[in-house]
Amino acid sequence: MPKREGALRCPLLPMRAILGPLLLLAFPGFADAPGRLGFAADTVDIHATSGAQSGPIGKLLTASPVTALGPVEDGWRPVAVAGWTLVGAERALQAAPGIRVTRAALGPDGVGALSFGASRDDPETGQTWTRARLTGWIAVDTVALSPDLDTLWRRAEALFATRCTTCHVRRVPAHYTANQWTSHLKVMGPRTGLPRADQALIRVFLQYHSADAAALAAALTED
Amino acid sequence: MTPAEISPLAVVCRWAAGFFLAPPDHAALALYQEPAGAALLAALETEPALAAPIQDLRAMTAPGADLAAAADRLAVAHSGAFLIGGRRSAPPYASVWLSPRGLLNQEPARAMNRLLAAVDLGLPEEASEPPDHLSFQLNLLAELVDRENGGLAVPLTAQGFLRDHLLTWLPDFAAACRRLREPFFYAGLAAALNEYLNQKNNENIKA
Amino acid sequence: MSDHKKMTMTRRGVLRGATAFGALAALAPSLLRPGAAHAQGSGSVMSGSHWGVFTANVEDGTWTSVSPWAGDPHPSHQLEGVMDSVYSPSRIKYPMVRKAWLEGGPGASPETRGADDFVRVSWDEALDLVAGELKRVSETYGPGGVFGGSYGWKSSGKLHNCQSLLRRMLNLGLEGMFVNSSGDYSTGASQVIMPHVMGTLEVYEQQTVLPVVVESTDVLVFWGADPIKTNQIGWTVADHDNYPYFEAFKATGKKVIVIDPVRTETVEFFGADHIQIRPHTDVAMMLGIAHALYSEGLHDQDFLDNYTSGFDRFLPYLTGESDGVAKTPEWAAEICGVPAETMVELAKLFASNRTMLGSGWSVQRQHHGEQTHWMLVTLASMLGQIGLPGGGFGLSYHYANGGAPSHNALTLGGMPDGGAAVEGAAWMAEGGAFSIPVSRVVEMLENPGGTLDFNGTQTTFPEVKMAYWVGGNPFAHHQDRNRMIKAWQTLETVVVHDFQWTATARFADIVLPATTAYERNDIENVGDYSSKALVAMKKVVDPVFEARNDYDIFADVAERLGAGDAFTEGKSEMDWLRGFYEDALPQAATFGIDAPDFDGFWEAGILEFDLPEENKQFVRYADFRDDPLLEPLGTPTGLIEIYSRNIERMGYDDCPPHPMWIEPIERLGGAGSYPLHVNTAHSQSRLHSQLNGTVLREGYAVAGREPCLINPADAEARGIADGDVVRVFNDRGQVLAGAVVTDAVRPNVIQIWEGGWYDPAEGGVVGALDAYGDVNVLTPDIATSKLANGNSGHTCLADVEKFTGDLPEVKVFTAPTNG
Repeated sequence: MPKREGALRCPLLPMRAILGPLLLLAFPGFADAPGRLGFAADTVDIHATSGAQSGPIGKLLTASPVTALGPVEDGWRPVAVAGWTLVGAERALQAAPGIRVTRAALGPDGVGALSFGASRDDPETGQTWTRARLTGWIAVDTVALSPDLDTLWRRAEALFATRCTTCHVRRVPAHYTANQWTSHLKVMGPRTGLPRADQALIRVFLQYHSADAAALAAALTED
Repeated sequence: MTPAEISPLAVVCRWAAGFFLAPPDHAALALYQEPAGAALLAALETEPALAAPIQDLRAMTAPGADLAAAADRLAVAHSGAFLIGGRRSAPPYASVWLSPRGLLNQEPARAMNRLLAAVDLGLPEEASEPPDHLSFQLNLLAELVDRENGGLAVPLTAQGFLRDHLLTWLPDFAAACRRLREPFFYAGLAAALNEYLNQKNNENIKA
Repeated sequence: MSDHKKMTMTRRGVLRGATAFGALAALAPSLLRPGAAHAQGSGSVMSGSHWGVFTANVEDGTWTSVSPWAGDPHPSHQLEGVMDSVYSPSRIKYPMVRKAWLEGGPGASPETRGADDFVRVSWDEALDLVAGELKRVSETYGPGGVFGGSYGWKSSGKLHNCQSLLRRMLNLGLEGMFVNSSGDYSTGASQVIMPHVMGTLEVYEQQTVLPVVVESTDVLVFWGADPIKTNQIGWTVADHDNYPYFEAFKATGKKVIVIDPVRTETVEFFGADHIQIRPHTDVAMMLGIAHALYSEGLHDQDFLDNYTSGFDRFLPYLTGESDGVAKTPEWAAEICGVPAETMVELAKLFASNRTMLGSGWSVQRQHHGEQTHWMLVTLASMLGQIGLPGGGFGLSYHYANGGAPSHNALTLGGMPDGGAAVEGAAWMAEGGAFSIPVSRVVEMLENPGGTLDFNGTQTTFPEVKMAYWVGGNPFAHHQDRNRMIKAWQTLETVVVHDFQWTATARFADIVLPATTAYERNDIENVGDYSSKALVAMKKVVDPVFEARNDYDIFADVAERLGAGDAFTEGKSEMDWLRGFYEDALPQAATFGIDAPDFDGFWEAGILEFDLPEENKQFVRYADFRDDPLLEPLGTPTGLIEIYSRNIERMGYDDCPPHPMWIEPIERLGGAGSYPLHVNTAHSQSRLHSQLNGTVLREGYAVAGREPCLINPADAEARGIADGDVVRVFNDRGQVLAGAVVTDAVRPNVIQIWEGGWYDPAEGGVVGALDAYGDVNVLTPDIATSKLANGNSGHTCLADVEKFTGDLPEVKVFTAPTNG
């Protein structure tokens, strides 16, 4: 059986360093047509306009699905990320109503970059969630996107299997909800000694394999 | 060393020591069925104190006896007595009987190390037991007896070693062997050895 | 590192003859060989343990004395026992196999397990048997055949983590085809309910730190917790950092309240107000207080509105609107034995003072244990102080010094369990081929193919035929010993690694001698929460007898399964330790830590970390309180769920959608036919069953047996005097113990500490009288509920009588000098 020696032995470089250059050069998703571009491989700064004159209005988080809105101009591409927001907490763009897998975290001025759609009352929580779409610009040179989630999950799985079994027995991802995994990783993440980007990757990996896996997979097709 | 210089005490010590370190297997028992082994038993039998274990061995190795079954029984008895902890066991280490907390590897073990160094001898490679195991103490006693007989210098007399290092705990050990969950053979051997060595001590060890 | 010592059964092989005389050479050889062994070292060695960092003095290669680390603010007296355990005559010396199993094969005479008929085998033979059995069972019974969910407190150390190593061997050598376990016996119920209520594990997470408690808490409550006793130990290496803060709090003179059926070390230390509650009734008492708060209008409605969800669905239960029973203090007093006025006073006291409700885990180690901390959180929510400095609740002040501020530390890597090599959905779905909640292990053996409801899912029990247990003693920590003995008979093969002849080892088929942590090198954190240092756990003495490191044992088993290289990755012991340290070293730059290279660290022996000032200010849930929308909890609503729709959907009759008082199968004042409650708290001088076989026992054994604390009234009624041997019994079993007559225990409550070594008058016999005092002979093996399937070790009624029969001796310890 194939042994994952690479995963066990390779030093833990940031995702970007490994995939970034490859994707920028060869990845067909960077074609000019609008459409699903890929998934954030790490935190991605999003700006209100192309060019770095103003700082970012927020961040796209690891594994967020990113859609291209147009071609690259001067190293910047217009993109959109869709999701849901809770009334009063619009700064957090979540993957699905009630499932707080955060796709984008916005600064106070970032809410203006959201456009809103239909609302839905969640009978489970009595909360009202609104379809929302964040548009902005990302700098293609410094951004790492993965063509698919499986590439990210393979790396995450290797990290999880090695770093998350040294102090306690392996946790089963589906034993918890996506929301619970956020809280667990708040505590457990630092205990891995991994860089924050890797902790975030493990978190979102566990979320996508959690008790909410089906709902999250469905949410991807709706984007 | 020539046969004429063999000390019975040394032989008894070495012979008994073997049993405490490991139980005899089928092949070892079979040796007693051969002329040389039978002769050894006969020689040992001349010591009245050793009657009981000799009788046990004769019974186990009588013609037609099931040596394998005897070896099995001895293995279980040995394990229960010396390898598994518990009240109905008899740890064969001076430290356990002489140290304040009844532990292994206490001062008696360190003393044995010093004594062995003083006679320039060491433990066998494959034996993983502490130096104050009964078998090693018996062997050291035999060595001291042999050296004294051979006119060699000794760091302490055989009598002194017997009295101050072995008989300080052997009686309690023998008593514990009588109370073993499975006392087969070893209760008798320990009692016999204890009686024999006490006699020798009282006789000021005439080798 | 692979240090094979071949032991054959022939005396000739072992005892090399030195003379030339026929029979004498073979039958009376000289054992000693020429040439003295080189002198063994002397000196001091520093290492660490569950009980703290210590210095060992070594003379001629033997460990002679132990002293605590100068940096330990409150060393544990148990260090003497730690040293003793290395040289205990209870050491497992050689690989041993149960005679009947060796002769009759796997599954032979399982009812004779526990009768102690073992024979010695060589390491090679033992390893061949173990590997052979793993293959055979796996091939014959499939992925559910081998149970590898081995649980227990093992020893400290990142490399020699025997449970991780077991699973590493099973993942790499058996392709992950084994049954794993989830959860633990410590927080079995709470760690499953808290994610529903608070959205997080809660129980192993940093508390509002004690400097803040000292400063800001006005009323410190310990509910079912004895932090003075239990903070002696840590999962990694104990730091004991809580004790100076407890001293500081005591010095303030502020109020401390302990709610516990027993007057504990903590009561004595603080001079606390002691509320001697009837056992098992904590939820009722909390409801009574909650009712008082509500009816007096003292509850914090704003907090409930903004930070919680579902209070409005819980309220009708509290007021009695839904079931016709108002949960008034009077109603609660009937159940919990605490006066109604006391509950009203507490409500007023808590509401008008900054109150920290610290709770231990005894209160959830009970039938329906999930309810206790859920109700505690509800009560804390009504008080509205969660997220305020020194207010709210904390579930870990009593454990591993939770609340000790966290230092700015390097986080070490550790031994991964090899699961990365196992492909496919199996491990992802189950953490192994299958997974069971850990305390359902006996039920699994009794009911292969049966279904288990667990936290909203259904599992089917596999048919397990082989158990491999390391670093644990289930014949101490699991409940209902007799039921367990019977269930264990369904196993064809049981393999155990340990360093002492525990009851679990005695019930095994193949027993392998492991080294203690002090016979090998390792590396570990100091302080589970404080992370105050890293310690080089340096080898103190060479392994005794033929003890080997679990790492080496598993490497050899893996080798026989074709995965030796994958297991070791070609690394030596020191290679691994160096790797863990160097892996963490880059964090030094990121976090501004002054750390030497590995050789420098190993030379120094300990690396201490700074404590940033801001970490002394940490307040749990302050961020949530500040901004619940942007710092939501991990629950569906993002709020504290007093009512849980997820749990409602499960439809469990034993775990309703909001906290409730539910009558357990037996309790004092409730169901059950025996008159006394058995409290099974930890011992002051053990870590569960660890160190029972040491000198420490002399400090507490009564008549050579485990003490049984009994109230004077109960003792007098039974003609029992202090020091008498008593028989404690119920329908599940019977144990002997030594009576300690004291009013520290409430009437109708006796206390026997968990962890006493099982010592049956007849080994292996179901129902045998236990001569020493293993209290789990008396406890029921019942899951807390279908939600968590935690263990219920504190749900127990029994009776006591003075023992007048033929007194069976205590055999399980080797105590030759004791009468």
